[in-house]
Amino acid sequence: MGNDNNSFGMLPSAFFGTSARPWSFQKPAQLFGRTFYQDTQRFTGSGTVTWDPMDWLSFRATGGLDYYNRQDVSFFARDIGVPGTSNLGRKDTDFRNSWQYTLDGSTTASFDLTDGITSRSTVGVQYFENQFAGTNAWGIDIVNGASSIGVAAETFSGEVHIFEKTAGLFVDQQFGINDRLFLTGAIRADDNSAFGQDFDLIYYPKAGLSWIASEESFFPQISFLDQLRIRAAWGRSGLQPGSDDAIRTLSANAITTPDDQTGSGVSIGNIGNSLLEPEKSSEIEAGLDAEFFSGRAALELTYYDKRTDGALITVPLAPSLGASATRWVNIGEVQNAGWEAAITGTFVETNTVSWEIGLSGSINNNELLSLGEGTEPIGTQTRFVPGFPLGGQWDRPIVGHNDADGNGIITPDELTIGDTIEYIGPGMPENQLSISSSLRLPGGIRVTGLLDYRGDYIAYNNTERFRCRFRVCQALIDPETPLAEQARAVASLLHPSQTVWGYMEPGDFWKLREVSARLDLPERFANSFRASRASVTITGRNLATWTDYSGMDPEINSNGSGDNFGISEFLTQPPVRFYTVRFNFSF
Amino acid sequence: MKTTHNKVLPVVLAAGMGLLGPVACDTDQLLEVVDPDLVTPENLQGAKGAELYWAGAVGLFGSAFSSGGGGQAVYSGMLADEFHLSGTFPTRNQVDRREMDDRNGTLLGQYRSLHRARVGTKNAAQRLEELLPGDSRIAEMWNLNGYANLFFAEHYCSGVPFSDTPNEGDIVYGKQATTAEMLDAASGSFDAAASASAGDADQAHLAAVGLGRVHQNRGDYAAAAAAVAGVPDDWTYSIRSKAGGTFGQRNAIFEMNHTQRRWSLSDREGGNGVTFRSGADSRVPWKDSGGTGFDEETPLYLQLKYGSSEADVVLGSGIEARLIRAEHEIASGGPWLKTLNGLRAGVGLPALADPGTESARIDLLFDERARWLFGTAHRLGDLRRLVRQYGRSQEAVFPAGDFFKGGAYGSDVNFPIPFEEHENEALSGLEGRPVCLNRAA
Repeated sequence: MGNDNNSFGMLPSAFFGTSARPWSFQKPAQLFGRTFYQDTQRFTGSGTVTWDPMDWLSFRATGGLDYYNRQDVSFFARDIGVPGTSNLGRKDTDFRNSWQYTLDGSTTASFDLTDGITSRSTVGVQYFENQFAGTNAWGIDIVNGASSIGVAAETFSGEVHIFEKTAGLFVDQQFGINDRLFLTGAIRADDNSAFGQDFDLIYYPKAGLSWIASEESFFPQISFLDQLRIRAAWGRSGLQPGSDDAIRTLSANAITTPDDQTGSGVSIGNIGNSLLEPEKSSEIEAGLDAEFFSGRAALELTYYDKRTDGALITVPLAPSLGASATRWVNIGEVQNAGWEAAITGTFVETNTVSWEIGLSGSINNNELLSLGEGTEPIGTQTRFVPGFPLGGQWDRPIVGHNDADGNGIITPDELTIGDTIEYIGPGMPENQLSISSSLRLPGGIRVTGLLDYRGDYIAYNNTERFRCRFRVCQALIDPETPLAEQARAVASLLHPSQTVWGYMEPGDFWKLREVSARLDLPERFANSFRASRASVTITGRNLATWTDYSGMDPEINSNGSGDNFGISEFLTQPPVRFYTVRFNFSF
Repeated sequence: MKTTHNKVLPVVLAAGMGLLGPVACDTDQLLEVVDPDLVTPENLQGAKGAELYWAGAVGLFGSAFSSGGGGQAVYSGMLADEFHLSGTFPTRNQVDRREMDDRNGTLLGQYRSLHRARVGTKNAAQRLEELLPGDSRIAEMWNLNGYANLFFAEHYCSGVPFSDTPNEGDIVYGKQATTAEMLDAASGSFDAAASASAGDADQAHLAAVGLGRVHQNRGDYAAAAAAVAGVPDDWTYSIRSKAGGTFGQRNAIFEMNHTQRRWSLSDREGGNGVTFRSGADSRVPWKDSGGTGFDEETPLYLQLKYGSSEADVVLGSGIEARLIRAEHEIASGGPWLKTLNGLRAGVGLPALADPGTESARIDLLFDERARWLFGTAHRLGDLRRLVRQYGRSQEAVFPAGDFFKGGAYGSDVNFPIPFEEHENEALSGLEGRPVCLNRAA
């Protein structure tokens, strides 16, 4: 309802403006004539009961509730000058409630098998329930002075529910040897609610090893090394399809009957997939944790390799099927492998001054290993092709352009476009790095900062492509525009291929995500508020971005955060720069 | 905590107590959920279920034809010369400007909607045949299916795949169908409707007019005239609209023209268009709203043929049957002028004079058709036929030259097949290429 990339958004009105009509859809006064607000309430609570009937036996039960309520309301008062029927007065409401219940119960027996070997056995159950209910309504033609759908001449209402339940049982056994070597083995079984199609119970085994090698007598003494832990683990996990993903469902639609009454009919809703199965993953990881210089430096390093069989994804369906737009499928085998590392260091540490730096980063290589017997590559621009990342970006390449007639304007016949689609790059960043720093200075001053890097991915500048489609972009208006810029516009608009290759750009960026300064205020100031301590913190977010990407921001994803395959901007507001000032009082 | 005990007892105790809870429960019962939003085919068995599929298919066809905010009557009229854009959507601008992108989301919606109507009507027909044999709604479903196929042939480029989502079993991907093959599919559906229409004259006449239209598209004017020979002059068949119902039940042309002010009635659009306003013809009544459309700059001209959101939209009629006969009469030397003037006399219009040449007679006939059949998804097919069957250039019949919102008219004479059709597994090897076999008229 509050989507900003439609005709009620500020950016689209600005982006499609022309010299004759600077604001293409609505003028700012009209946009600001709209009342739009969102109220949210959230409650998270949990309780734990423990019982230790014997010194080696304990029971533990935890129950939790996460309640979330959201109310979106949009209102156009009558006659404020917005285009269309909204000018008659329009109100939209969207109310949503979510209750998530969790229950955990476990029994643990801990004892020593020998003087050097400890045992810890746990058996437990877990239960999760999600209840979601939402109602939405709108009303048009609301008389002046009123703001209720209840008095609208024309109304609509809808309702949606989601119910999900998952139950699991697990057994976990851990042995400790001389407090240095820890071996773990476990298995869990999960089942979940499935509407219409029952999926089998799934078993997930795992095993792990953790060894504090530096405490072994044979380990060489290294003066600056405090501790070295080596760890390795293997485990299986899985994901059940949603409760109604596998079945064919019907949508109800209203019709006008021959006697001019409203009747009900049905048509295909979700097309379903009777072959749908749970997704199953197997992962190994190995790594080390080390501490140095009396705790002033630490390193965590992990390598992982995760293979997923039958990964669950939604894929678009050919519209000619006359059915739903997408459906869930299992695709063959997917590999995610890479490194994760974190380094922290305290370079200065005195009573009044300290300076810490932390680096954390990851390198992930995602590859679709196979699609399964007889399955063709899936997707058009965002594709699933064996040997390439899931959801990689593809299109026909702009091989070259040549302003043959020398008039400074690229035309379709001056373009060379590849005959077949080619891989452009992964849709999501493969490399990430965060650098954080904290500086403590005399006088109770602390300055922190966070710098983020994302690299090796393709961002789709669909905003600019679409502006060219509407012929309001510089590339199609200004002959002084660089030829390469013209080439991508002409390729997407005027060339028969309509390839968007030129708007698929490397999205690599550095972003100064946050800088924050905190000052401890004088005790006298705190006392004047009956507080013992007080501080003020000034924070700036999204302060600067360094990138070669030509769009607004390579981090924008108009598809929403739920889209795991592809970053695409489309008239969407980038992360805004903002500043906050916060006072903290301790009583 | 770390004390040495008997090694077996604790483990057994712990395991037993931990397992007590889950084994005491019936997990199937524990995990059972009911989703009140879902209707499954299992819920709709028997004759009553078949009737709901029929009703659903009627709704799908209405949406695909001219209900709510779109449909073939609305968008084909925009691509042709009936309407011009007084709204702002870039995707609709592409349609009016005759330069369409196969990634155009608006057109994807129209294309999917028409396929849903095509598949839904076929499935409903087959369910009715199975569960209610002899029911006249079988003929209705095949007729609407025929029109869905026909609209693909008349409004889309050659190459539209006719995939299938059958009542039972998995999906079936279709290969690209040529325009001739799409017409064959329409013809087959109208034949099936005719066979199933015993005792229902409306369905029999609708099948006849549909079949006549198919023959007309093939250039077989004699067969077209023969097909509609038995259709009474005063017969009409309409798709119902309703005010006060849901958005999808409303007359889409009224909705887009009067309510939303995004479609404005054209006059000589692009130089070649029909004089819908200046012709002052009672068959296309109109008025100047005195204001502008949704874009706040394009004058809004209101058609009055559909005077409310509950105005029904004619799908087939005796008037169309006579126009089909007139076209054959021009080709065969028959009394075409008498036929046209007979229609005009029925609404008090003065008689036409013979312009003297066959080319001018065709121009006159198509002008008459444009007015009689205004807003009923005929005009785009007619413009294409003028190019394809009568040798006119597209620049001479479609809107051309400078586009009133900037730029120039393009050269599209039909809708492209959306990019998303590449998901069709029967089209592998076409990646990155248009699905259309050709974009010619």
